[in-house]
Amino acid sequence: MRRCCALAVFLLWSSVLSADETGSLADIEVITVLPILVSESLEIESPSELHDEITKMLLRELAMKGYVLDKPRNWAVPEYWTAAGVRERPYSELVANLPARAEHVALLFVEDLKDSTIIVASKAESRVGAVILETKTGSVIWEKESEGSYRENLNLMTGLIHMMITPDRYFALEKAFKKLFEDFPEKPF
Amino acid sequence: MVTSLRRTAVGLLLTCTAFLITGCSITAAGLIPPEVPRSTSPIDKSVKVMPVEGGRGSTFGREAYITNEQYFEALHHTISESGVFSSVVDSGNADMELHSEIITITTESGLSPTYAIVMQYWLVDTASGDEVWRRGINTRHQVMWNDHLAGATRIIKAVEGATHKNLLRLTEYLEEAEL
Repeated sequence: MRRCCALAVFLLWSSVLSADETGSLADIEVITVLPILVSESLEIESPSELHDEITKMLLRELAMKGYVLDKPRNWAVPEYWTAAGVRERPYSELVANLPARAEHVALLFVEDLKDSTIIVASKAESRVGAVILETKTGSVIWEKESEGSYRENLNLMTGLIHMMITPDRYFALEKAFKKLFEDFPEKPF
Repeated sequence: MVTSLRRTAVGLLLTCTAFLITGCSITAAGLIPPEVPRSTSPIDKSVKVMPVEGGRGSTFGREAYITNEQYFEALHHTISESGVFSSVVDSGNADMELHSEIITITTESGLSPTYAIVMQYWLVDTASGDEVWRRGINTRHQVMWNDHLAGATRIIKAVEGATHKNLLRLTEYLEEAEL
């Protein structure tokens, strides 16, 4: 009897803890997406264009889960705003430079991006990460890393020409970010 | 007799198709919530509803969308009916301007489609030109496969439902705002 009571109390306590952990994410309505952070070792032709493509995709994906993605307003990008610059600072220090009116912000990281072409196929592989912070405290509400790849098999006849064309690296990144947020909790209707 | 039957079948098919096409499009009237609760604590300021941004017409093969004019009509009606502001001004100056932008209208298609609409609303104090309030609102609505026979109708009802919820949620948030 005592063991049953102890077990019941333990299960109840565990469910309360679990509810608190997921409750903070489920309470979020608006997420402000900050400019994408690219690892210094990578060459991205147009980071702003990449940011627009990724946020356009995330806007739709997270809209179906019940979230609003917003852009930072009345906010100047800090000088240190690179992947390394952000990573080397504790989040509590970042808070001072985050958009004042945003309650929650998303930091999107591009950690790695490789592309290769052989005669009959080209592919791009990427590794990305995201962190969602509560701006008031700098607390991490959610964070995750993911990988994505894009492969295109080419026609043997046109292989020589296609060797000169870079595979769609942005698409590999888009796939990686989409996979990243796949199991982001859906808000109830 | 076979020819006559064939003609009848073709005629019936064309009639149904015409009905489906003409009867299935988003209208401003459909976007207006059927019931708008009256505000119990209105904001003691007049408001002008500004033209909506971000809308566009639906195009064949893509998800249904809403034009700026359609959303404006539904928004104007909702704000007027709710009485959340002391008055709604159509011309001239008002204490506040209510701006809105359709951020996205997106769907998970299927037999029971769900549509999500994300809006940004913001209020500008006309005296100072300052933005005094802003809110992003996401609402979703699903229409089940057996609610309507035609798939196109289900889509339209899903868009209308999501819009109704968004407009009503706006009035709730405005009532809670400390303006």
